[in-house]
Amino acid sequence: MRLIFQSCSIFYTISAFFFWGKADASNWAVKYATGNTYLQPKIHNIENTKKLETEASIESPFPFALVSAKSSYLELEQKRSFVLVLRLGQSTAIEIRNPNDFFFFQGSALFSHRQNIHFTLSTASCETKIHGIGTWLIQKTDHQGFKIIVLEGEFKAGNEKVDGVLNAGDLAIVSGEKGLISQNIKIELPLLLSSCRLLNNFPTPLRSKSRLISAAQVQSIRMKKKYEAFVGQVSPKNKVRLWTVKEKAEK
Amino acid sequence: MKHIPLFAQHLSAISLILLIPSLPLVVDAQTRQPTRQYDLPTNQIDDYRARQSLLNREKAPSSISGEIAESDLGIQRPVEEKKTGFGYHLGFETKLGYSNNPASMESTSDTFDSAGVWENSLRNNFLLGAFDLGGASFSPLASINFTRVNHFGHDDLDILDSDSLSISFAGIFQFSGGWSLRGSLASSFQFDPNSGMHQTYRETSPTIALGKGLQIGNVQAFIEWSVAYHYTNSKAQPIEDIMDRFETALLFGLNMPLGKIELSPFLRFALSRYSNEDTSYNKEQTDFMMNLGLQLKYYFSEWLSLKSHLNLTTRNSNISGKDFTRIDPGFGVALDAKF
Repeated sequence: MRLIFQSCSIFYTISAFFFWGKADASNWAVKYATGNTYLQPKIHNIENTKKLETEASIESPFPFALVSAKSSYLELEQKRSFVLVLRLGQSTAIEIRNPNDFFFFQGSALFSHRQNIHFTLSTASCETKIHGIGTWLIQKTDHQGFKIIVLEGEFKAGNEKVDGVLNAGDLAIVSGEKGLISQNIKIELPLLLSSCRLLNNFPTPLRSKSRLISAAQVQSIRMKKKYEAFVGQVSPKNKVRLWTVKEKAEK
Repeated sequence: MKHIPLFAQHLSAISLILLIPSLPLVVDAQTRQPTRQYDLPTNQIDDYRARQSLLNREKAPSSISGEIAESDLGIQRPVEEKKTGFGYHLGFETKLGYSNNPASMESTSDTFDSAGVWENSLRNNFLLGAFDLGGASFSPLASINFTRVNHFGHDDLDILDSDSLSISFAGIFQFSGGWSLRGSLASSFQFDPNSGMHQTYRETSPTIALGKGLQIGNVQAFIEWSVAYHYTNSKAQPIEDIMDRFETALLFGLNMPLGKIELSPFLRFALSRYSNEDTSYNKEQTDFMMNLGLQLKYYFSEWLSLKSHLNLTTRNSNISGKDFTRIDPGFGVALDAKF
């Protein structure tokens, strides 16, 4: 009886370690890395900062940070039952706390996935949730909020009480501790697709490229009016700054 | 007549009998007058441009500098979008031109060796929606167009006048890489305005077309290959469906904006094979047509433009007397409104 108990304990410990080890670690493949991009784990006795190279694979327990320096870009792919693509823009630092939990220190990122994922996104003073299927961009604003742009697909963003539905071409600002989402505005997709470095500065196109194009085509057909203005940074009052052709205006 | 020797009379009659079949005219059996050649395609390039305009095929600006362009998220320009995707395009055009071969004949007679041509057309194009299929987009379109063509320069030229009404439905799939697939069904009716709007011709044409558009800087280029079958009914012909035919065509074109001016050359090749045998020649007619054209458009505003055009059309047929070459220059004014 004692021998059976000891065998079961050993077996349970080994399997628990194996299982928990899997749940507490993240496995990504580096599809593309240019410039200086790093993996920074947080747990003691783990190898320190690791410079990332194309075609490498990384496995690190949570939490860990991904960092890209100026003029550096990083693309990671995680194979779950589906593929999740994560691209980091330049001068970006993100801490991955759990499989779908991202803390933004600074910078911008692109996510692309064909299954419904519930993300938790946070900064020092803002936390929000976003879930849906598609391809979307996110940027931490200077005032601890987020700017979210959906390129294709459909998402719900906000907190548990109030959320907004975002479709292709929608831009919204998320701010405050409660992660409140602003009214969304439509952004010209053909122009965005042709000028977005998170799409064009990478050698291989996204798997969702045809969906991005069809969303842009449909928007182009439905286009009613283009404003002679462009969206800039977010003001301290968490309002979007619009740059007109001749002058700057706050709206 | 009685003073002319009998032999000479017989010779004249025989010559006339032999000459008539070789006259390079489409001659109405009842009136013995040249008639409009209903099977000659017109306005294909205008139809193509109208569809492209309705689908808002525009390019993105080529360069923008400054703070806005440096974001990894790209240039974010606010726009307003229709919820339903329904659109309507109304176009009116009046053109005055010249033709060196208005009846499209192999050899022109004195009466038909040239003509002034005045064409008025009214276009109604309806965009019935725009649907994202996740990798492709689909847009159904409908159009109703009316065109009136008047010839002047000689009294006999009015037999070439016509009014035509065309109704068409099309579904266009657009894919990445500028590819498109179009299926359409069109019916056109032609009337003789000089005989109480009597319908002289009817044609129903199912068509499938594969197209590709690309952007080279500011220039938009396009190519479209189409396959169609034309079911016809011509009151002017002894056999009403004599013009039933299969047609395959290749269309190339460019749109080059130069400030307020737009230069649009195009080239179209078409091969037509008629289903019914020409009883005069005991063989099926096969034609090869080429249309080469150039349009210059000056935009006074978004809705008003001045146009000039120069078109060269040639046909080579295996049926004697059907070949022709014609040159049509002209200019006109166009009004366009989009809703």
